[in-house]
Amino acid sequence: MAELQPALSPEAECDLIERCQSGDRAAFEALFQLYRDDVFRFSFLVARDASVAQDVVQETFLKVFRSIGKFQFRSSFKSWLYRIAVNESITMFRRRKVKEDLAPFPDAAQPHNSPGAGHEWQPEEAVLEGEERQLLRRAIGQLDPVHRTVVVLKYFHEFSDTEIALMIGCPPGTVKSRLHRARELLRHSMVRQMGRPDLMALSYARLTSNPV
Amino acid sequence: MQTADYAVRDELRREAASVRVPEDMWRNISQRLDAELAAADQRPNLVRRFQSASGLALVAAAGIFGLMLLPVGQRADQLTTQGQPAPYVNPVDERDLSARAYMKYRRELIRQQADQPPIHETAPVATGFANISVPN
Repeated sequence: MAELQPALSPEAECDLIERCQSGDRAAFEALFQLYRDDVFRFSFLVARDASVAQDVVQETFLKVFRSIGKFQFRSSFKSWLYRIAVNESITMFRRRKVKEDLAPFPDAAQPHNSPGAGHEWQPEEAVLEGEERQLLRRAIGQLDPVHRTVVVLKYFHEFSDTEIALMIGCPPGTVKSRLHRARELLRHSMVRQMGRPDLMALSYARLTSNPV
Repeated sequence: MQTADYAVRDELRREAASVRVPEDMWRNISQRLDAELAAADQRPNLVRRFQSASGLALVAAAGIFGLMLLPVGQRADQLTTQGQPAPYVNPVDERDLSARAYMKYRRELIRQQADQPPIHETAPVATGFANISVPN
């Protein structure tokens, strides 16, 4: 997402990292402020719990502070940071057994960025749209943390398969297969949830087809 | 049919936007970093720990080497009996026996001792009364 990218040139970021490596606490705070939102949102989407996400951010940056001296600029700092965050998120998620209950979002019933968002929405469609989102949200929530991590990195952070492979420490082919498997799991989960025939016709067609 | 990518992306963005990033995270991290640094200051530094550990290892190695130099066994006997009369040599040197052979040897020794009659049976104690002649 464009709004999540840090507004800092690569040279300035390198300078910041080098200052961190020499023990500059202010530089580390600047680095933290630069990436904390990204890491928090990532861990929140993986763990689906704000308190867990907060813990993940803290543990991630503490690890970064302890081991930033070993960072040798062979990969991008962001990849390195996310690699730590991925491990922390999955570890924390498994440790805490986060419940899959979903809190209702304040704007859950509002249509949002869909392909047909240009036309005037009818109340029935708005209800259906909300139901669709609930289905998809539950389906995403039912993914295991490994597949959810790949989905979040791919669709929310929009990293390439190669970058994701670096972050989770596996070959790009594994990333592709995990993404494919995650899509399959989402589809199966949604089909299983669709017990209402009135929603089946619209929601299933809308959510399980690729946009033109 | 596949799940639409845009729907997943849209849902994830919506979910991420629904949560507010806490403001006090840096304060917690900073406190923990301070605590870690304070704890690190209290620990002896790495060089000093290395020096003490290597010194300890050196003393232990010297001790082991010294023990290896101490004479033991026959050599120790030779050294301690120099200038003394030749000791009685047991035809069976128990130190040369293995544990099993030693146990066998001991059992045989005990059996032999058990076979010998008690001293009072073979050599009754002379009381002296037998040789006394009583005058008529």
